[in-house]
Amino acid sequence: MSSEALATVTPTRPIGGRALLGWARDYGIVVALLVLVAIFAVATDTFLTQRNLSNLVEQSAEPGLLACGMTVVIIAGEFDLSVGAILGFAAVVAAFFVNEAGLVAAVLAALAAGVGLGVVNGFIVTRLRIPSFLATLSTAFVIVGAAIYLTDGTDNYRVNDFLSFSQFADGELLAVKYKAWIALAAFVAVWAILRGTRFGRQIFAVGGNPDAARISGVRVRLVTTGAFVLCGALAALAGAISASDTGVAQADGGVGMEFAAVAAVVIGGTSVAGGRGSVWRTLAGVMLLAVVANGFTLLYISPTYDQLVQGTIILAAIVADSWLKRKAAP
Amino acid sequence: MSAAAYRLGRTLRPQGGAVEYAGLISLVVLFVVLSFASSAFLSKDNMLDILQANADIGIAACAGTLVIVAGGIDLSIGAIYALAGVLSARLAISTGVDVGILAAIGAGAAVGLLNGLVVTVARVNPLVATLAGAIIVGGAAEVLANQELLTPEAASFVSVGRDSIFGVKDTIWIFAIVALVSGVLLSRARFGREAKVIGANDEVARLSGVAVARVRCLTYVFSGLAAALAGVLAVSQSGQAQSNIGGIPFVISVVAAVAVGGTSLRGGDGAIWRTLVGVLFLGLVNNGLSLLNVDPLYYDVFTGLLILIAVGAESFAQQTAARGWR
Repeated sequence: MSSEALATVTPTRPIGGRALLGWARDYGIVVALLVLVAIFAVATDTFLTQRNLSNLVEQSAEPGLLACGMTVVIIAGEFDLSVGAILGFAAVVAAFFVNEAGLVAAVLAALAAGVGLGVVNGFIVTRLRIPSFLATLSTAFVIVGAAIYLTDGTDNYRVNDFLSFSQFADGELLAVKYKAWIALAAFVAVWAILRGTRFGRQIFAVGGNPDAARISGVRVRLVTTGAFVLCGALAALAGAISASDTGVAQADGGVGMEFAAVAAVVIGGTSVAGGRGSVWRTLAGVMLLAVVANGFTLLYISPTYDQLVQGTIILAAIVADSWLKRKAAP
Repeated sequence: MSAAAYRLGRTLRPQGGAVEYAGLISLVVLFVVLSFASSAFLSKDNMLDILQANADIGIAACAGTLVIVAGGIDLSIGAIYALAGVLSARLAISTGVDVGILAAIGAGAAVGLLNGLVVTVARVNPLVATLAGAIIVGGAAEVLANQELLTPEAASFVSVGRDSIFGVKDTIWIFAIVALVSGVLLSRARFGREAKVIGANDEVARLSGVAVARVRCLTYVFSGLAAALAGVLAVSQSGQAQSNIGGIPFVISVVAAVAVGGTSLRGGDGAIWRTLVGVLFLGLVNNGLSLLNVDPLYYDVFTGLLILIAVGAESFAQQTAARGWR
């Protein structure tokens, strides 16, 4: 059927009602983010300063990279709760290699570690068929243990030449640290992969309906494993950044960050049922959580309340999303 | 399909053969090995210590089994554990021991109800719903603790976790009661049958007249209540509460116990005796690791590996069995 014919068949829907709810579901996250920015811009003198905004995006680099990879895995219909552990492991690997062989080797070794751990996760999920949230929670423990082992049980590993290695994360371009640019580049790259490549389309197909994907010739296991590999690599990149940023690789330094990553993806509106979503949504989710934390700090609200507020936002977002999805459904 | 393939399928099928008792067999083997490996292992005191040390995980795992059998998952139990611990300690110091314990357990049930409503009424994926719940409840525990270490000293509070009846600690008795109640609910009561049907296929359950939302909700209430009880007992036993107790490691131990026992995490089937086997197995592993002088930093690695082995074996057997019938 041609597009013209389709247009005549499809009844034109009045603006308002369902269409409005559908719009709210699709772009509510952007509106929420803008509203929060407006509130903090008015409520504080310091929010809209160049220094604070740089800070905001720089602090979002590591959580952003984790959430970016998590988006891919969630669109593929799985979870990866080992990204925090991979971050710590890769940080230790990076710190070890930068001491032995320099910056480039360190970043490559960290990425290789992330890819390897992604393959392991993918194998366990697709071949042993263990539900991915449980499989990756389990590998998370093993990975943290392995990272601790690499540090000889001391739990951390120190970078010798901190001054030069710190350039990787903390060098500045246009008054913003490299780590924020790296994260932004990762978002653009993953967006391009998801939208513009066959692998990207297959990830959506596998997450939406694995049986249908299999029947139409998609190698489901390979694609799922690919999603874990991409996610692992991005988490490892975050690990290299963290080692470069602080000069100390903490074996369990990323533990707990995986939940913030899932939260950012979910707040953005990517469906945890798989098959639907986008990384720009996740970017908005990451920024929303960062803006809230930043705004609260500027308003001198005790960080003790951070988690409570974050959780409430997440709950509100998922309940609203689920409600809007049903109301807007034709 | 040949008769041999059918028999192989029957033998490996989780509901009818070696794999069904894999957890139990592993437990017995580990028990025998530890008895020979360490002279300190096989004593009444060590046995009671193992039970005492794992009672909190066991209590939450028995209730958690109901959630999992009904096709759900509750990731908020670690946070509920922390909230209940902090709340009971806070109130035991300021107001009264009874008020503290009742409020903590009531809070656990209330969070469970909230989880259940988000899962059933708002129809949010249970993993995400209880994860959000975990973040909120963990945050509430943090606010309530206010970065303090609470040390309730009232004799009547700490006695709950420390006194004994017939030479066995109260905590162990409470664990036994929770296990018994959960077992009866799951395998003898209509509630358990309905939970299994829902876990196997909620559409079928709905069409055959099961109040799906109500049963699901109740499993979360029970799970929240039990997790709170576990948190109160743990604080009563140690005499101190902080907001960082419980958490995700507690959730993992509980899910591991359920999975290692052989209850399917896909829902639809399971038993409390399996969960007890899982709890004891993990308890023995930790006991064995400490007897072997393994650095506690690495204990979690073994928990992680055990989950992978146990769940991997179960799903491998299922796949093999399925092939046997074709």
